[in-house]
Amino acid sequence: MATSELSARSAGPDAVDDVRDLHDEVVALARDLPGGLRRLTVRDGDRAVEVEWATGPAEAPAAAVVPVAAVVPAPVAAGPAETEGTAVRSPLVGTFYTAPSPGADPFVRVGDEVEPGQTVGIVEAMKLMNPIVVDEAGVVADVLVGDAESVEYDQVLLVLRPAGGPR
Amino acid sequence: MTRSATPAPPVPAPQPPGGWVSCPACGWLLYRKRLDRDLHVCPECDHHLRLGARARIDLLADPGSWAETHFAPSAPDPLAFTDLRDYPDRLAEAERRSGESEAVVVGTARIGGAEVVLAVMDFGFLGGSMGVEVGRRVSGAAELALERGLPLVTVCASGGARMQEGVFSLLQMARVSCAFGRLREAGLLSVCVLTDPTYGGVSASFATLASILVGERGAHVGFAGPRVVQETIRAELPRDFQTAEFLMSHGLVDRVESRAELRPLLVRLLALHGAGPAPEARGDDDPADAPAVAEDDGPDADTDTDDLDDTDADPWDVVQRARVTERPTTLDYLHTAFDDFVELHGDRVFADDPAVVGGVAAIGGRRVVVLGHEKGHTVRERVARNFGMPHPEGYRKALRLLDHAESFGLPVVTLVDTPGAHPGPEAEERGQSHAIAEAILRSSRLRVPVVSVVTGEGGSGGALALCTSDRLLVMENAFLSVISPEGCAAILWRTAVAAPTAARAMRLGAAHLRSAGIATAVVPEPPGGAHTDPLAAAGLLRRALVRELDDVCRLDAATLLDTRTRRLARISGDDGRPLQPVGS
Amino acid sequence: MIDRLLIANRGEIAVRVARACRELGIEVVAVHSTSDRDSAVVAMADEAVHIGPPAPRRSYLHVPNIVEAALRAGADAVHPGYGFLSEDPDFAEICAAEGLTFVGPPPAVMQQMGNKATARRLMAEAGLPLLPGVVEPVRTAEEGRAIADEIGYPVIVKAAAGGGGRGMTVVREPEDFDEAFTTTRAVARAVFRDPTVYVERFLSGARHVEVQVLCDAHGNGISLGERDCSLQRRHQKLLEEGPAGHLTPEQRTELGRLAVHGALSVGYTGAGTMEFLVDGTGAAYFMEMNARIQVEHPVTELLTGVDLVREQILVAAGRRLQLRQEDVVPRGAAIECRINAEDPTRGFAPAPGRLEVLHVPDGPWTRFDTGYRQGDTVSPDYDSLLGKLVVWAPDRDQAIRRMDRALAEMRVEGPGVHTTIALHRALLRDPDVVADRHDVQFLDRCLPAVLARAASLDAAAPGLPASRGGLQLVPTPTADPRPDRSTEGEIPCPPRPSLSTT
Repeated sequence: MATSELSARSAGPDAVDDVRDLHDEVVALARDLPGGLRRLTVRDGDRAVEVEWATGPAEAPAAAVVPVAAVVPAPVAAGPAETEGTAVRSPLVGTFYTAPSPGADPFVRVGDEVEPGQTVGIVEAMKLMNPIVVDEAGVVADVLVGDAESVEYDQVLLVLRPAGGPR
Repeated sequence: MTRSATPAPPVPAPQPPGGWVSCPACGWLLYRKRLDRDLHVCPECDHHLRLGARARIDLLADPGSWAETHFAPSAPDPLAFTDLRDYPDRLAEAERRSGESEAVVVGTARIGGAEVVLAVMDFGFLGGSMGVEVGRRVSGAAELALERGLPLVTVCASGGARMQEGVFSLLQMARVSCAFGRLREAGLLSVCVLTDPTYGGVSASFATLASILVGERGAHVGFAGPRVVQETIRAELPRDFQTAEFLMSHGLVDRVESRAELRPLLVRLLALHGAGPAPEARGDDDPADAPAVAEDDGPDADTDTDDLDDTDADPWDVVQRARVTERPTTLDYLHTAFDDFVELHGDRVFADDPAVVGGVAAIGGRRVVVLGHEKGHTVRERVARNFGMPHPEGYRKALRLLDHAESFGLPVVTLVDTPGAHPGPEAEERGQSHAIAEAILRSSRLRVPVVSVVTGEGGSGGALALCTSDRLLVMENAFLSVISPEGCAAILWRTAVAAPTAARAMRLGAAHLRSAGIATAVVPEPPGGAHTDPLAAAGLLRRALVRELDDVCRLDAATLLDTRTRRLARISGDDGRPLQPVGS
Repeated sequence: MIDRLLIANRGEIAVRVARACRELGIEVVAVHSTSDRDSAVVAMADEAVHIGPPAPRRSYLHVPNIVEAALRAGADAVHPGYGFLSEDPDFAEICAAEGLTFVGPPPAVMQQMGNKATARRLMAEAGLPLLPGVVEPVRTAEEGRAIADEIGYPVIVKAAAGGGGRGMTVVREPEDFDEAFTTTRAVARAVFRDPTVYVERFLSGARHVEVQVLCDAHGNGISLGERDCSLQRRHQKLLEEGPAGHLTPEQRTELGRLAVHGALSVGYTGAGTMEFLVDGTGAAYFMEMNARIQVEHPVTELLTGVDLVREQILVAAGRRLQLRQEDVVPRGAAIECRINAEDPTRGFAPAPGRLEVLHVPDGPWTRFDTGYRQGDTVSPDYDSLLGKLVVWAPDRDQAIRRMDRALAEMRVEGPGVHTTIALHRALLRDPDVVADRHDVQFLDRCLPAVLARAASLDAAAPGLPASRGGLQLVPTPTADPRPDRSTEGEIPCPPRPSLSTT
């Protein structure tokens, strides 16, 4: 409980560097991989990298997702960065709403252009409506969660692709 | 300036029903009951949510001590103003929504047992704007404080002057400022807590006229609102622009406190200014216990010798001991030799110089203002404190704290430990010489006692700015010099290697200062120097200070000034022969 | 009744609760942070909900996400485990407001027990003995001396901001009080920047004894014997055992009676622990109540044969206690060692990492509760408890030997991973611990000596040498008189300095 113990918990400088290197590698890897990522698991022991891509809207998002895992060798040589899409994720556990009120038009539809700061949905938690705001511009490529469905933390709600990019 | 100068942030929307709210700054979900217990501070991002006047009073006043002052109803709407709605309509709605009859609530209360007049603004009432009634109530609060001889505590939250009352609002700035001026003349303490937001006609009048200004953490305080500023200069503003923290770093407020710290701070400030219970003494101040201290009974005694004569300490040893990085600094002594200390920051003009610290303190049951150089210990601290070398703003902070001491009749203690005033172009641009000179002059004519202690290095004019005093104590391993021994050696011996020789030639050290009649007493240190046992050193300093203060506080202002003048006139190398006109 | 229960916790206690649920036919909803997504409890659960990033305040302490997870997963009850939200009255209240059964006491009782001053006052009213002293800060030496005169010497002057032996001074004679008070305050002011101090009676040679209680919502309560948790480092328990061999049967019965009486007097329900300090004469003083299941509950389970987590859930569901006090018959001796992923030689710094080898000991009356499996990674984001090794034996000596054997079997390997295993083996070889004459300050005082012994123990160190008496199947508590604990000369370690500023 003593503060000293808490501070001792922080990793040493070496560990921090390792983590930073790993972080940089993972970011580079995520940039290089095509498609909207749902999950990227990196293990150091067996040097495995598991990638799970965001799936199409046909799949019920609330259901347990069978991991679609692909193993790629790591580390990956840095190629030209081509971002295929940006996942917009739920910051909360709650109920996702695609429209401001029942029966109203949805905030966004597939193909809509969005601007930074634009609300693209709502996650209701503890009876509070929490707007989901995008922080970069793009075009809605996919909406993965249906109206009034439960979402967990970090679940991909929708995918954006860069504005003006290939359809 | 006449209008509500800020684009007043909108009154927070009525909170949705239910047990939860989301933080307006970070969106974190907050359980309302816990938020109430947490004083409406977001635990995630430390955002201080706005508080109404009643919640403020509950936060600050002793339970059950609040007695509201009711003002006879006045005739509102002097201009018969109508914008999209009639002004009386807006007033009625503001009253309904906030539960208050105007944007400020006035009454008396106790804070930590100290009786005060309390005036609290409510931003929920038309953005806390100041019209005729707010002006009347705030000046009424000041008059009540004058009448009853009580401190005045104000809590500000305002977008500025109220547009709907036009030029009548503008003139309230003069009305309330005049009332605060009378408070100052009467030597009554005023403390203003600046909360989010405080702007325009309120920040440019009573909100910044109090004796002590405390910003609530994260509060935005300024004259023109950030959007106005941005549109005018068309440049990116710093992220912390106009926050309380920004103000403090620019020397404009004394302190920044979290909401939970506000009441404890007010309790201490009131006690340290003589309101409420007397400061607690430690109970170990019996002068009979005091160890033998080499001292004389007054400036006239110059014949007694003591065991701290020149032969005892080599001046170069003294210089080195005075510079040991572990040697206790002013802040160390403030936390060990004094019973309480509240630091007051800033020169109220430009910056807060970390090389000079000052504030109000208690020692042995006595309230004092303390000023001192601060060096810090670690490399990081020493760099941040500029090695204890003040800029002009440091001396100007000292100056305004000397004024503060005189206003409230508090004796002054200064602790001197500096290599010298900062030599640099910025310091020259801002008038280093003038700032030092004013500090010396002010302390030479101060109507309250000044006791100075050279605790380490007393380097030149930068030290003397805090040395002009009724009593000048010097610690055993401290010295006062006109130039550093290295500097002297470089100039006169043409090599800095001769510094030890120069130190001896200049006769640096406590013993010489004492025998020359410059120092009035020597404060002993633990064997090996103060850094070997900082607590013991603090105890020795404390005893010396308590003794000197007891002695010098017996004198009235006229005697004090007269004695001080004579003392300064007598200091010379020839045993204080008075100046005789030739041939008389 | 409870059909589906959400476990608002992680690690070994989450697994422990999930097992109890399985045995009761209750469905399990697990919640997990990003770093725990592949943890053992997630694999066991009927449903798992991702509630946040690794940082506890955004996951296991994030009430909205946990409550929403419960509601969305159709849970009707929430078990908080220990730590995290287990003693948060707001969480209990929010669960109740959302129609979720909270496995624990009512929020109001939790609130009272969570406030040390209130808990002490309520227990004093219920007739429990308190350690003499004041809960309020002492402002002056005169005030402090008056208090010390009233409560009797020796007293301890404690800095409110201190802890772990720092900023406290023991005063044995009235004439030393002023000096000690002034110095402690000065140190507190200089070191902690907060001069607040308290004055309390100082107990030398005190033991930490806690009584397990179980109360239902119908006003029934039983005690399930006591545990001795005197081996702690800076108030962090390392090794717990039961029963407290230094108590007489009468003292034991009386302590149990007081604990149940105290708990029932405030309307406590569920499993809880009353903590006492017991001095050399066996006099007990109430310290605080823990309103939750505790880490060391398996000690009591092995001694009594009662599944505490199961009983806790049943009581929360509203069932009457089926056990009567006379059904509770503690047998033999049990010891629990906390196996932490920490490096004792580096100030117990957490030493997390991937568990490449996790070989768990086995054998008669040997239990290992853990939330980790071989190949899992111990995350630096959470406490470093790898698991709890618990053994039972007919008497304390056998239990010590069994524990040593089990510790020797245990293997934990991985890059950067260190554990407290060797430290425990060294502790079990310490003459004071073996003789059961250690006190609560033992580890703070003697840690260097214990660490030195641990360093000399090889991983494959042989078991304890044969004892003179041979195997005893029947406990003979009265045959072996307790060592004379008043003989201070026997204690090999130097007494802790009374004041430490480091």
